[in-house]
Amino acid sequence: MREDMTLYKDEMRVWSNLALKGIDNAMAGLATMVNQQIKIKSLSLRQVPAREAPQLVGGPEKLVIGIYLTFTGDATGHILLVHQPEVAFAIIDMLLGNAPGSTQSLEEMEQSALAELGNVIGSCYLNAIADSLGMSLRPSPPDVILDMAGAIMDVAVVEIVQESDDVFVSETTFGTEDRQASGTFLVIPSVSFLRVILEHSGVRQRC
Amino acid sequence: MLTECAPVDSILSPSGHSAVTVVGLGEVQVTRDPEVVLASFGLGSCVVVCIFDLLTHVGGMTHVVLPSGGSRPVSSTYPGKYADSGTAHLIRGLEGQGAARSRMTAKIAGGAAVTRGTMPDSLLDVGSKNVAAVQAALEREGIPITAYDTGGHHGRSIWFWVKSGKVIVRTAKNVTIQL
Repeated sequence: MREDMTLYKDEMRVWSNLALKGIDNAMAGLATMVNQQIKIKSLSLRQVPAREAPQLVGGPEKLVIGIYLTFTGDATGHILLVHQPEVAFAIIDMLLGNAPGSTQSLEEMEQSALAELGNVIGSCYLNAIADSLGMSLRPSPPDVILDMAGAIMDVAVVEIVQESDDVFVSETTFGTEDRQASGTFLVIPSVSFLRVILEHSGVRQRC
Repeated sequence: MLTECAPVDSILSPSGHSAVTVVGLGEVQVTRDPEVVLASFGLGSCVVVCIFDLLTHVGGMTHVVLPSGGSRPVSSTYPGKYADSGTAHLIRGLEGQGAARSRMTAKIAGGAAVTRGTMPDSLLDVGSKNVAAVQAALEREGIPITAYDTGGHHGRSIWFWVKSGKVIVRTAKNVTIQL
């Protein structure tokens, strides 16, 4: 059995279809929460060297707000929703029913609103994948972090680099029509996640 | 020794003639060019180790990700990934460029806990474990730590001037300090 993250074409197709199902469901959850239509602007599945992972969210020093959760169960991995701070504040205004421009900082109430968003998006994403494959995937409570993008990415990357020099990531950019609520949704599976979903889908032999 | 200092952008102005070499996650860089500034950006739980010999102006930086690789082989792509093997790799590199172990001193920064607990159990406190592992590795090698800025809950960027041994740390809170 291969322990590395390299995927063959068939395996990539399986993962791609699953990721799309998960993201569709996650964005539907987000649309319901902000009561606006959400468009998926781009979806890519990439294998990037670990040192380049912070570039996925704007570069290591860029100040961002990340909603971070892990998942466990039949497989493990990391989910990260990343927004520029001013965009996150606009989303908080939508979630709390505030006038646009009301939110200017990330206090306890604002963090709770974003954590709830993370709960909904994370659960929707994982449910779609778990239902497709008959697996159990459970999200952790989300953590809402305002920090340098590199510092936030460290959390996920540190676990992956124990097993692999590369990080495999599903990256989705999305936004509302008026572009007020846009962001990047990253799913960073562990090596075991990829192995398990490919075994469940029958593409890779179980050992 | 921690002192607040001018914003790093003004220190790195074009008139400063400094060439910045970025040391990415798990990488090790060694130089004998005194004009070089080694830098590492957006560290969370990772720890940067800067070691230098002021007599020969040989200096280097490693960007540590995890405390120890145990029995795992050290990746040639990321020789600085683990505190133990990464620190040893850096010291060997410095010696190879003419630095003397007896004159080497170290400054370290990083090891923050950016999340409030949403982590796989195996990675709880990885920042403080990284700091402890780097301290232990330097002690084993007989290299004193003359300054540090570790722990806390925010990310950091670090610049290291090989010529003077000066280290500047800027946090996500935009506080800039000199080590």
